[in-house]
Formats: sequence, structure tokens, C-alpha cells
Amino acid sequence: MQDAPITPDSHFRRCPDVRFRAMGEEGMAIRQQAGEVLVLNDTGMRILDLLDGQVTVAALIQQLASEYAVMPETLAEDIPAYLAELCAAGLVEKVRENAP
Amino acid sequence: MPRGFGERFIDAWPTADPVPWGEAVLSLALPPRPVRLLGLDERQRNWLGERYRFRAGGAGAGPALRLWRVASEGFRQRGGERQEYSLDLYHDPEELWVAGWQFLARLPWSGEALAEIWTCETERGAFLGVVENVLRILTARRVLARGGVVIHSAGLQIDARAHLFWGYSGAGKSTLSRLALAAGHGVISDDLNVVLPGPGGFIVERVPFAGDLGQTDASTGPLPLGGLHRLLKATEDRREPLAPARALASLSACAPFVNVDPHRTEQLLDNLAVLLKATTVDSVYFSPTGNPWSLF
Repeated sequence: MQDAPITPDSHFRRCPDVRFRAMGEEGMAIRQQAGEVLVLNDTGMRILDLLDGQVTVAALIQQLASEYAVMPETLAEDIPAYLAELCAAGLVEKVRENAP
Repeated sequence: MPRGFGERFIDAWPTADPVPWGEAVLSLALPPRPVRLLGLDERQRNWLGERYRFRAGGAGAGPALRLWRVASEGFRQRGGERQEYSLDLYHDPEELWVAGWQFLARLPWSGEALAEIWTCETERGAFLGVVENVLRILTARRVLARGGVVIHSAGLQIDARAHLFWGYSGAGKSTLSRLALAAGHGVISDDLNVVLPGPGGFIVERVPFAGDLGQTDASTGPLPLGGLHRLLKATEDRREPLAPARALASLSACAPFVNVDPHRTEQLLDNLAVLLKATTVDSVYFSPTGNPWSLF
């Protein structure tokens, strides 16, 4: 089955078995079920922190644009791919699409 | 209990109608507090006394680990050669269940509550293996509860301080430990070392759980922690900075037993974060033919 595309209305959340901790300019995340540990940069940690299942991709982009002085258009190009990477790494999962 | 837990080792739950093996008691000086082993027979007490000879005493005080004798019919029989194997673990918020060949154990989270082993094992080596498997896990949990951590590492004494070189299997812990002995440095353990907060900073305590090198001189008392070093093999010796998040990630992967307990992850990360802020942390690359001591 093909994954549904990531749209501005998509919602993501951290996987329930993921624990994470910021340290210095980076952070680390543990996938407890898989026994894996991953190191993320500051932006990755912030994204993980924001993905509570309530925030949409569009809202995530707006939030990051306000914090990191990056154009929303640039983030709109980069964030879906990054979210897909986080999904593939087992750190986050897509939860639902907004009803039309 | 989840479906499938312990099935490799257990046919029928062996905790019904257990009886003590005997009335003998042995106290083992393990950090953070001595552990009293209850319900032993005289033969088992002698075996354990020999195995942990520098640490074994009388009845003593401290939290207890009770051994129960159960019928062998409840356990599956191990086939083939005896060799290392993985235990089955079930993590509950309040207690941990452990299943292995010829035994089942329950370890409460509270360091003061009674832990229990149900076993039918009567052969000396296998019996000692059962007890040591449980003691290693018990120690890791109790140390974590005290703000410390057990680290899979080579613990070396350099200039009256303990330096822990952590790494995965094959990183060179036993090789470095042999080099340390040859160079006149003390080896605390080449496998598991206990770090605990002390009044003047973190200290390293010796535990009788050795790796390939075997048990070394047991006279070493607690030592102040001199540094934490991620160990990697290389063609020449050098030290490099290690970013805190990478140290945290790598160390958490080398904190055995508690790092696979989902109910203890936050505490493990808390303890490690405090530890990392309090001590020197870096990567040490060493050559088996070099002189890594010149780096310190």
C-alpha cells in the first residue's frame, strides 16, 4: 500500500516508544521498542518536540519559520521530505488528515 | 504477563508451592547496598561464597533476594552445549520479570522490596550463572534508582582516578584492560562498572562482574571518576572531543538492562545527563600496539 502524500493539513506525532533529550547543540532520541538510539540536530529536536499529533504540517512550518529565520517557502519544500525521513526512522508517524 | 513471555524456557509457571532450598543466608557487598541472599542451602552458600569471596559475608543487612526451589518439570530442558543466550524480560512499571534456562525471577523496582528467584538448578556452574544473571540486573536497577548508572566499559585506574572506556562488544575493552595491566595500571573491571554520585562528585565502584579478562585484584575501593571515554580501535592513539548528545546516545546504549526498560528511560537519561555535565567526556582512539596512557 502506498503512503498517503504529506499535505499542509497532515498531522504527525512522535511514536509512543520514542524518548528524546536535548544536549548542547544536538539531541538524541531513543526508539525503545527497536532499541535504537539516534542523534538529531537542533532543528530535528525542535520538530520532534513540536509533533504532538495536534499540529499540522502547515502550522509546523509557520512555527519553525518564526524560530529559525527561514522563509516558509523554503521550509515547505524541505519539511515534507524530512518528515518522511523521520517516519522511515521510526521516530514519528502520520496520524490523520483534516476532514474536508 | 504478556503472551509468549518466557515460553522458550518455561512450560508451566513455576511459582506455585515453592520451598526454600535451605535456611542459609549470605550477604554480598554489591553497590549501592549489600544484598542478602535468603533461602540457600549450605552447598549453594559455599558456591556463592567461593565465587564472590572478596564480597561475601554473614547475614548482614540490606535488601533481600530470596531463592525458591521448584520442580524441574516446569522448565524446558536446554539442548546442546551450554553457551551464552539472551534472557526473556518483561518490564512492568513496578517490577521486572526475568526468564532463563531453569529459572524465573521477579525484581521489584523498589530497592528495599524482596526480589525472588525460582529455580530447579542443582549444577554448580549453572546455578552460579542463574544467580549472577539476576545480580547483574538487580545491581543495574538499584544503581539507577540511586542516581547512578552501570556502564558496559573497561574501568581503569589512572593516577588514583577511575577512567571508564565504554563501547560495544568488540570496541577493545578487554584488549585495553590487558594493555593497562601490562603498563602497571589497575583494572577495575573490563565489562561492567558502577558509577554513583558521591558527596564530592561521582565515584566508580567495583562489581564482581568481569568480562573476558576475568576477575582481577579485588582490593580496589571506590575511586573518584576521572573521565568517561568512548573507546574505538584505530591505528594510532588520540583523543577527540565528543559532543554531549552523541555521548548521551552512545552511553545510553551501553547502560545494560535498564536501557531496555521503557519505564526507566527517563531516569536513565536524567542520570546520564547529570553525569555528563560533571565529568570529562571524549572519544579515545587506541592502537593495540600503541601507548594510550601517554594521552592522560
